[in-house]
Parts: sequence; C-alpha cells; structure tokens
Amino acid sequence: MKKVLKLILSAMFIFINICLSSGFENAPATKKAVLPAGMVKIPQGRYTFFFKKKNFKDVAVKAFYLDRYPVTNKEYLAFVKANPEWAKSKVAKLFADSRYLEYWKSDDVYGDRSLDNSPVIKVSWFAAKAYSKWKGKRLPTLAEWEYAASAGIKNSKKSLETVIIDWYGKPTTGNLPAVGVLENKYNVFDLHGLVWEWVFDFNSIVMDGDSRSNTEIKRDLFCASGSFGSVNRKDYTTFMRFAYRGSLKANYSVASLGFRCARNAEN
Amino acid sequence: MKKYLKITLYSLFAIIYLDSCSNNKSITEVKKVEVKPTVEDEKASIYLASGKWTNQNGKPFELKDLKGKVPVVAMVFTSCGYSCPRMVDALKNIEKQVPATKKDDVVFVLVSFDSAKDTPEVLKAFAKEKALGKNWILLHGEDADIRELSMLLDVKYEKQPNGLFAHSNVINLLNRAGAISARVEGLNENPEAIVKKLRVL
Repeated sequence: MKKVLKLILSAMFIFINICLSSGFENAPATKKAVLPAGMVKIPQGRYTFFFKKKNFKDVAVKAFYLDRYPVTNKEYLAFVKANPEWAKSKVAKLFADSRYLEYWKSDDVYGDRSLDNSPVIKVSWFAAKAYSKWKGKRLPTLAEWEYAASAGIKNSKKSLETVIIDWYGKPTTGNLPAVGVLENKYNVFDLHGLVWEWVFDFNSIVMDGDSRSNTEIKRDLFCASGSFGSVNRKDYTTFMRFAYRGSLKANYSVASLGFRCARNAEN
Repeated sequence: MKKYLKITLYSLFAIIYLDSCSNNKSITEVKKVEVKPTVEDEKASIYLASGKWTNQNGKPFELKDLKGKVPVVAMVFTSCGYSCPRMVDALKNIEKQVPATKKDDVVFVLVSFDSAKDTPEVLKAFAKEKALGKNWILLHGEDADIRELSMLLDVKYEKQPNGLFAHSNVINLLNRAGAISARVEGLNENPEAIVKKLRVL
C-alpha cells in the first residue's frame, strides 16, 4: 500500500515538474549529444601573447574541447593498467625520468583512496601525450591552454591575477586536494590553483641558443615590458608560466605538474 | 711523404697502445666501443619513438632504420635564410673529420620543421643544391611527429604566422643504439664534443 502511494506521489511530482518547466521560456536546454564526456567546448577566439613578438601579436584559436578537470590519479591508474609499459617500474627512461610517479606506492597502487581525485603529478610530457592518445584525445596547445586559462574565475570574487598570485605564494603541504576547486567562466576547473599543466608545444618558446632569431625572441620575451619590476600583475603570472615551461624537458616528471586533454571540435 | 710517416707513426702508436692495454684493466675501455649496446642505451634510444617519416627519395622511413649506424642529427627548414645553412655547414664540417675507415658508419640526418613546405621533392632539391652526399638523409614528417622528435632531441621551435620557424640550433650525435651520446648547442659552438666521439668509433 505504502509502495503504491509512493509511486503515485512520485508520478505527481514528475508531472508537476514537467508542467513547471514547460511554463518557463528558458527551461534548461537538453544537453547536446555531441559534447564528449567530461569536456567543455571552448569557443573560438584569439590569443594575445603577453610579450611583444616581432611579426605578430596574437594567434587565432579555433573552437576546441577541453577536459573540465585535470587528469586524476584514479584515471591515470586505469591508463597504466591498460598500458603496462607506462608503469613506474617499466617506463623507458627516454620517456620519463627517475621521478616518474615517485609518490605512487607501486606500479598499480598510488596510495590511499584520498588521492583518487587529486591530480596526477610527476608524469612526463611523453606520458601525458600517451594518455591523451589512449583516450582518443590530445594535449592542448600552448595557445589553446593560455586562451582557456585567461577566463576569469567564477566562484571567486578576486581577480584572476590575485587568485594566481595567492596560489603561487601558498606553500604546498601534504597531498594535493581533489580536483574541482576553482571554476572559470568556460566551466573549466583548476586551470589555476592546483597544478601546472603540460601543453603539447611547451618547447615552442625559444629562449636559449644563440642564433640571430633566437636572440630576437629572447629579447622579445624579456624586454617587451621594460624591466621585470615594471611588468604588471597580469603579465607577471603569465611570465611565470612561460619561464616555468622554458625550464622543462619532455621527460621531466616533477611535483605540481599534471595535465589535461583536449580534442578538436568539428568546426 | 710526411703524411705516410705520420700514418705509420700513428699505427705504431696504436699498436703499442693496444699492446700495453692488454696487460691492464683499461683493455675494457678499448673493447667497449665494440660491444653491443647496453640495456640502458636501448631504454634511452630515440628509436622507441613511433614517428613515420618520408626521406628525400619519397621512401617511407622510420628512425629505427638508422640502428647500427652512427647518426649526426639536426633539425632545420629549407626556406631558412640564416641559421640553417650554417647548421648544414657545421654538419659538413663534422663530416670532413670522420675517420676514413668510418665513413660508411656515420650518417647525417636533417629533419625538417616545415611539414607544409619541405616536401620530399623540396628536400631532394635542397640536398642537390647543397651537394650533400649519399650518407645524408633528409626527412619530411607530420607536425605531431616533428614535435615529438624535437622533445627527444631537446630542440625548441615555434612556427610563426609568416611560415618561418624560430628554433634553437642543436646538433645531436646518436650511438649505434640510438641514444644521444653527444650534443652541441648554438651556432658558434665548436662541434669538438661530437668530433671527438667520432674519432674513437
């Protein structure tokens, strides 16, 4: 009897709900079937470099899909299980240095469950690229990443720059928190505030060497905004990312460096 | 005449050297050159990369086809006006210093950054124009494979909207297993680090 009552009540509730929602003009639209799971479509636009370049100042970014969250330990473990050549004891040193997954207890145990949803770190660029491929995705380009990451934070009243500077100033203690802390206006989480992230062409900022063209870029990168002290706050946080990328090599597996995947959009 | 004397002296010296070695532990150092690549080398071999390439003759090419050879590798693009011609000159300079008996072992590999313009035909014409010999291999590939190789060789590059490439100038020497054994960065660097290794092949 009780069961029947419950059913009737639920049915009534659903009915009322339908009536209500159809009564509103802007009822939530049905989710587009094309959107890949866990990804957000970033609209096309232009990405402007923070430093002056000789021949150009911005580049076109086509619409693309980006993972809403950085890849987590749990997700990465599934990849390692399916691709044992990426287990920490088996990985070729060409593709990952000795710190690869250093904090994992063993090849297929990263530690306790509290790490499930924390971003995976100490993974090399090659590993991040292999994971992306396994998922049928790819790594975002530098321009795509910076473009998506330039959107303001939704759930913080502070400016993006202040949020980032606060994060830079905060010492990392203990385990990284679970993903899903800061959401930006594209509905993408944690582009700032948790980990740095690999991009496909992180080695495209030519800062060393001594050819003429290299020197030009070096000058562009370091001198465009006058002395370092006069760089404004927005440039400062971006500068830090570019300087950081410049110090990386593709087999480096370092703390505080994770990744997320991207995918081409149809248009 | 002087040359012959020199060669004779060198050979004599080599014989004495080898002889003296046979009585002490440094013999292992001499023999080391002959031994098969170690597991360590195999694990550091860039031949583990999966890229598919096309050479200047339009034939498919994989890096592991270089196994057993000693490649000198640089990344360039043929429409480059300044640093790439100098890079090619630097490689030619290295080629001149390869010991006569090892000429067949050492290959010179130019990989293009420019997947759009540097087709195998363009690369072939470039090889002809620069009078590159038969032990030169020029490779055309897809952007993703070029990027991956740049990571393996630690070469930085960026395609600019005008179609040119900004890039660091790096020459890598690989051993017979495909692991990097020497590396010279920058145009004005003396390639001595590479030449030295080639002398003791």
